[in-house]
This record gives sequence, C-alpha cells and structure tokens, in this order.
Amino acid sequence: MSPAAKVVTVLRPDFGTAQNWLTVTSLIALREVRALFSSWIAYVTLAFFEFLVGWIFIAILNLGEASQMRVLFWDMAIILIFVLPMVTMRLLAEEKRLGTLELLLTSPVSDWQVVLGKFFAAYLWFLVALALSLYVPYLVNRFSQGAADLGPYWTSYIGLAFFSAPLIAIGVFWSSVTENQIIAAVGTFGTFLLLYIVNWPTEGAGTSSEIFRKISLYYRFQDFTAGLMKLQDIVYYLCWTVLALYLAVQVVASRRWR
Amino acid sequence: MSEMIEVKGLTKYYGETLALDNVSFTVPKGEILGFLGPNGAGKTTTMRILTGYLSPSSGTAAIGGYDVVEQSLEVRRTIGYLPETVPLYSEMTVRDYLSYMARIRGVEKRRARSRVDEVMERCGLTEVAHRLNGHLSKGYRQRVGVAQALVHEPQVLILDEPTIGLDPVQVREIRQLIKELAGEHTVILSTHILPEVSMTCQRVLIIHKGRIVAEDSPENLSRGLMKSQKVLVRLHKPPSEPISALRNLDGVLSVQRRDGNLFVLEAPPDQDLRPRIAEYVVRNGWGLLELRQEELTLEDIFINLVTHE
Repeated sequence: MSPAAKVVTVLRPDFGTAQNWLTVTSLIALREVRALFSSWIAYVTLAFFEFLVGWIFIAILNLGEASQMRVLFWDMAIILIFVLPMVTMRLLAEEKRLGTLELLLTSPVSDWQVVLGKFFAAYLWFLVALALSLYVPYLVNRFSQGAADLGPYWTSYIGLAFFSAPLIAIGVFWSSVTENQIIAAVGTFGTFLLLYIVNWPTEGAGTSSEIFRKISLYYRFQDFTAGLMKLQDIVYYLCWTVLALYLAVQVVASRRWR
Repeated sequence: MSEMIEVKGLTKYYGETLALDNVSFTVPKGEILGFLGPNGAGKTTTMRILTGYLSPSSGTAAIGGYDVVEQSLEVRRTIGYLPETVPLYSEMTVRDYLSYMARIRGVEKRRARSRVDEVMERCGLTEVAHRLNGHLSKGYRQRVGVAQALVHEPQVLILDEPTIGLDPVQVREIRQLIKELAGEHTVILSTHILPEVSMTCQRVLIIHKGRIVAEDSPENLSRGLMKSQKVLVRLHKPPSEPISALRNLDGVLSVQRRDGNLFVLEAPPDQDLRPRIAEYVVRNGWGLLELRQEELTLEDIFINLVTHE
C-alpha cells in the first residue's frame, strides 16, 4: 500500500464526521449571517464602510495622486477597526441575552463549532464589504487604460483579509465575555487599537522600537499595501486569530464551572 | 438497561453557595418524572447539569449510559431540552427555526423537513409555520419550545417549567402532549405547581434547598402529607368569641383567624366537615359568606416535609 493510500484509509473513518462537523459549523454561521442581514446593523455598517471608502477614493483622485492609492487601503484598515466591532459585538452576546446560547450548547455542537461559526459569519460580512469596494481597482485599471500596476491592489486586498481575521476574532472573544453589546464593541475596539498603536511610545528608540513594530498589527499591514506578501506577516495575523478564538472557546467552556 | 437516567451524589456550588446537595435519583426508560420545588430549589441547576450546560462540583450523572461530563456530546445527542425561558431567534420563522434546530442536532436535510412537519402537526404549529418567532404569542412560543425539544426524536426530554405563563387551555394542551410522549420518551419536567405533577407525572421528586426531600408517586405523596385538611369559613356576623365558638364543633382540631372574619378550621384528613359547619353557622345565625376547602399547597408540603425532618 502506498503511503498516500494509507493516509486516506486512516482518514476515511472520520471523513463522515468531519463533513458533518463542517456542515453544523456552517449552519451556525449561516444562521448568524441571516440574522445579521435581517437587522439594520449589517446594512448600516456596510453603507458607512462603502461611503467612506468612496469618499477617500475621490479625495485621492482629486489630488491627482493615483499612485498614492495605498493610502486608501491604510484608511480602509482604520475604518474596519471602527466598523467591525459593531458587527462582532452581537455574535455571542446576543445569544447569551436571548438564552439561545443555552440551547446551542446543549445541542451536540462543540464550543469550537459555535465560536468558529460566529467568526465566519462576521468574516462573511467583511468579505461582502470588501467585494463591494472592488470597483476601486476596476476604475483605476479602466481609466489608466491598463497602465496602472494592479499588483499592490491585490496584495492590499489579501492583506486586509488577513488583517481583519484577528480583529474579528478579538470581537468574538469580547462578545463571549459579556452580555452587553456596548462593552463587547468597546472592548474589541480598545484591544485592537492598542495592538495597532503599540509601537508608538517606542518610536525612534532603536531596537525596542523594532520589536514593538513587529508586535503592532497595523505596521505589518503596510507591507501588503506596498505589494509585499510576507509569510511571517500572514502567520502573525493567523496566530492572533487563533489565540483570540481559543480564548473565546475557553470563556464559552468556563460557564460549566462557574 | 432499564435506567435511562442515573444521578449519583450530585453536588453543585456556585461560588460559596450550595445549589445542589448530594442529589441522587434514577429514571427508568419511558417514565415521566416530575421535579417539584420552589424557585431556587435546584431544579434548573439539576437540569443544566443533565444537559451538559453546567458541570457538577462533585457526583456523577449519566443519560443512556453516557456520562454527562465525559461523554457530553453523546448525552446531548440523546436529549431534547426546553429551558425555562424559551429561547427563540426572533428573526426566524417557526419552520426555519425548527429545521435549524433539527439540522444542528445532526438530522439529515431531507429527514429534517418531514420531522419539522410532524412536530409542527403534533404541537399545533402548522398554522403559524411561516410566522416569525418574534411575532408569536406566549402560548405559541412555548409550543415552539416543546417542538424544538422533540424535533430530532431524542430518547430523553428535559423540560424546565413547560407550562409556565400559559393560559389554562394551553396548559391543558401542553400537559396532554407531554403525557402522550411517555413511553416512547423518558421525560423529566420541573414545575412549582402541585396539580401539574399529579396530572402528568408517574413519579415526583420534591426538591428543596438543593436536596431531595421526598420521592414517590403523586398520589402517595399527597396522601402521606395530608395529616389534616383545612376549611376556610367567612362569617358575616361572627359571635363575640368566634374562635372558641367554632372550636366547639365536633371534629374541629383547631381554629385560627386569618384576617377579618375569615377563619381557618383544621380537620382530620378523612372526613369532610363542610356540611356540619354550614349547618352549625346557619343555625347560630352568623351569616355564612364563604365555605371552602383549602387545597394542599406546595408551601404546605414543604412546611410538612421540612418540619418533619
């Protein structure tokens, strides 16, 4: 038997369960997406995001500095820091307030499935927001008659995709901590802003400034907007995502012992 | 295995507060067990431990042979649970909600559709299938709650106060439904209403301050506890010494003034004193305004049980 076939045989018994695991996780995510889009919050946040992006886009065009379009992506990251907490604040807090979390957690669903379902629901909102801003590279390409280098645009989009993952995960975490959505939003915003500016006090202080820049979530994002995709940046963002989701799972699980 | 639910020495502390104190009981397959106790007695805590929502501080519980802590997912596949505050997603229709609950409990898509139809039929929800949960009346909400507990055909049903907040007609419907479920399902339901258990349950556990204080069939329990009965009498023109006057009546064990001209007469449990009291009051011209037997309340049972220990 070839090694590959062996791996397949070993995995197969769990395949049905794994499939079921994913189905249930996506059911939880899709229900949340539906809830999100049947309330005003999804539309209001989307409208603000798109409006601000458009406004800044026009501003940059008016300056005649299309080459400085990376500023737009820096600003998109900042707008997301304001907008995403409002999307994530309800995720678990709302279910706790309604009591539906008790039903979810007494169904044959693992805590990870609940937390991941919530994460992907908010992530889907983010993907919609991002997709709706794709007119930016389209217009740039069109009006530069193909002369503009779109590479940095795509790396910026990929950068935003990784940059938002820890933001959403921290949002899920804060939403798991409290029933109060305002506290969840403020906590997310505060935590993320801190990670964003963590390098500021040490700027210009040599080695320590380098270290804190490495810690900062925002600083690494600038590489993406310059057309650079570094594996270490991606891994860094994913580490924060996994850590925050892990903590959220621990909080959800801790109810048992309280 | 005939015991569907086995609970041994269950103890739960919330911080320093003892919520459950060494609770043990078993429920055979197909039985309806009533959990009777005042608010805060530990009913919800016990149910939450059985459903895997909380872990016990010590002791064990098993459902269908699965340990509720170690094999929580298996236990959760076995049970259907109605929490006390019926939790519904208000933006979903009844049908979508039930179908979602079925699906996350592992019911396959096509099967889920027919199960949802069945359970809506059974709980009288067919006419509101396309209404939003958020627009339902209390009675319908409660029925949706029961329906979601049934939708995945669990072997065990755990219902926390299933009739709370319903009007009498709805209460009767839900009770009838629960009764029909016995046999195919094992049911634990909690309530603080005494007639509820006598009407629906085969066995009753009385729980007070986190401990089981009595366990028996409803009939035996009420009989055993009725050491006396109480008759309430309201007089229009009571005599100057009403208590001693009423006390003179044959068979009356004691007399108390409750308020104003309302008196409570205690009598032996096996005889009905009301005809004699009526005649006596009328003969003396005291003006009989009211005469009724006081129902044995849960409070009385507790007083009896607690003072007895």
